[in-house]
Amino acid sequence: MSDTLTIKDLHVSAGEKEILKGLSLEVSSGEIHAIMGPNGNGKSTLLQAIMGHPAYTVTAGSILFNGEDVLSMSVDQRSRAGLFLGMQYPAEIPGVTNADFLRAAVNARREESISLFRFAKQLEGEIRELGMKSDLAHRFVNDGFSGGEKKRNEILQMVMLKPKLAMLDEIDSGLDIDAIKVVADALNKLREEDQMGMMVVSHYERFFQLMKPTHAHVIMDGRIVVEGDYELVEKVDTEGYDWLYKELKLEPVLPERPMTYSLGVCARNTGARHG
Amino acid sequence: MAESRFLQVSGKTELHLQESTVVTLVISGDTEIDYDLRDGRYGILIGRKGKGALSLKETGVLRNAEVKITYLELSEEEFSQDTSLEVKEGSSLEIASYYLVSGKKKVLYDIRNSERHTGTDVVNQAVCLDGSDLFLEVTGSIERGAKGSRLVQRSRCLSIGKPKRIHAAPILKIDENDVEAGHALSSGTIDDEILYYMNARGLDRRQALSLLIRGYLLPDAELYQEYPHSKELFEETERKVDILCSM
Repeated sequence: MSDTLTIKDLHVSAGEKEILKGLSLEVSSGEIHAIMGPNGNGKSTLLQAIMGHPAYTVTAGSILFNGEDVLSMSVDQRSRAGLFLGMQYPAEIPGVTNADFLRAAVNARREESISLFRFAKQLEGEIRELGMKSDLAHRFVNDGFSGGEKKRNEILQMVMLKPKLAMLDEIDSGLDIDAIKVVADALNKLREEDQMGMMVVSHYERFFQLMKPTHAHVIMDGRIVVEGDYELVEKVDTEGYDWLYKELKLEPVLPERPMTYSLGVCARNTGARHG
Repeated sequence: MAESRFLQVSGKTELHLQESTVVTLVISGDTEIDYDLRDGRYGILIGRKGKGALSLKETGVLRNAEVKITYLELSEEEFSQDTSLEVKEGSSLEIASYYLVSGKKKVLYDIRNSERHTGTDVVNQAVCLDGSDLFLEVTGSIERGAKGSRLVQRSRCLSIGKPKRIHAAPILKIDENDVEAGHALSSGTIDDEILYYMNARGLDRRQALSLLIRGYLLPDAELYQEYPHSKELFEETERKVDILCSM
């Protein structure tokens, strides 16, 4: 059966600020959607809102997964329904080992618990396949991991949980070229074998080259402003986003800087010179 | 091969161990232990038996010894611990403690690295429940003359509900150069980002909390295999954590 995520006219706010301003998108099994756009325009917000991050409020629009209302589900229900978010900044969980965490997550979506032997064998195999260190299972989740290890660990969780639709938020950042290839191979395998759909946020054409997206979208100012296929990825890689800013008469969104406050002067220059 | 011993203790006890030994100590009343640990490797697991308020006072000296002490205090009862150990002559001491606090618990450690090339590593983990009161103070000293010594202490306190008080103080007293020392303390409720991350992998709040509490209170199951007659202690700990996780 084909799985479909349908997003219609989605509006999302973080606090008072509206970030997504009417975004529509449909992703089905076996499709790879490249989500591109300059920083600060809503790519990560889109993925987090689909997963249900409490910092984001959906103010209008709908998200359906196989016809079910995703917005009425809790975060864990969304995960068990088959959605997966590979995070840009995965949390660290000291005290909880990867093996215990993953086994609990695997069991959470099964009626009967997986046997310890079967689970350990499967985990060991996937760790090897992803070129990770064999002690990973017994290390605490992401605790003391390098940036690259954290990203690979996200992929390990994904292959163990076998979601129907995976959303990957800059999963390639922090990975060296060899690791990017390993991750892309794992993703392509899941797509071929299980027809897993994917939404992939990345700034690097190299990753998309390996993934060969079937669809591409550019998000600007909280909306999808242009859609296409892999040719669009190549165009963005060679020309950037300037042509879109001009065409759409939009101003680039500058990253917000924290306000600086002066605490006043506590010393005064009297003109005296000190040797 | 290390000698294995199982001891039930209460009242004043002198523990003079001069060979490599692994000991399970089950305390069942107010207890005072004086250690003399020398020339070997020692593993000591301390648990409790029976109900009622209990105090544990420990003093001792380590000479040329590699010592690991694990404390398990997961009772609902009032508990006080006062541990004062001197680490001498190239010895190393590793302390791991696990406390479940539902009433009042007062825990004091005073660890002194008094001679060259000694090492101490202290890890305390506590889960504090509604209305509980934890006073945890770990004083680690590197005394004059203890060049090349190492002293690290870490304490993590997780509050579930509204504890009355969590006082956790990591204190370092360094009186020598050329040493390595550090302390870390975290105290608070469960981080929302951690909970979200666990939810995003399909675990509901109860399942996520259960994993986190186990991470705080349960030492590696393999630990129990090292210690004689510790199955009962292990099962009791598991049972306590299960009850807590189902709340």
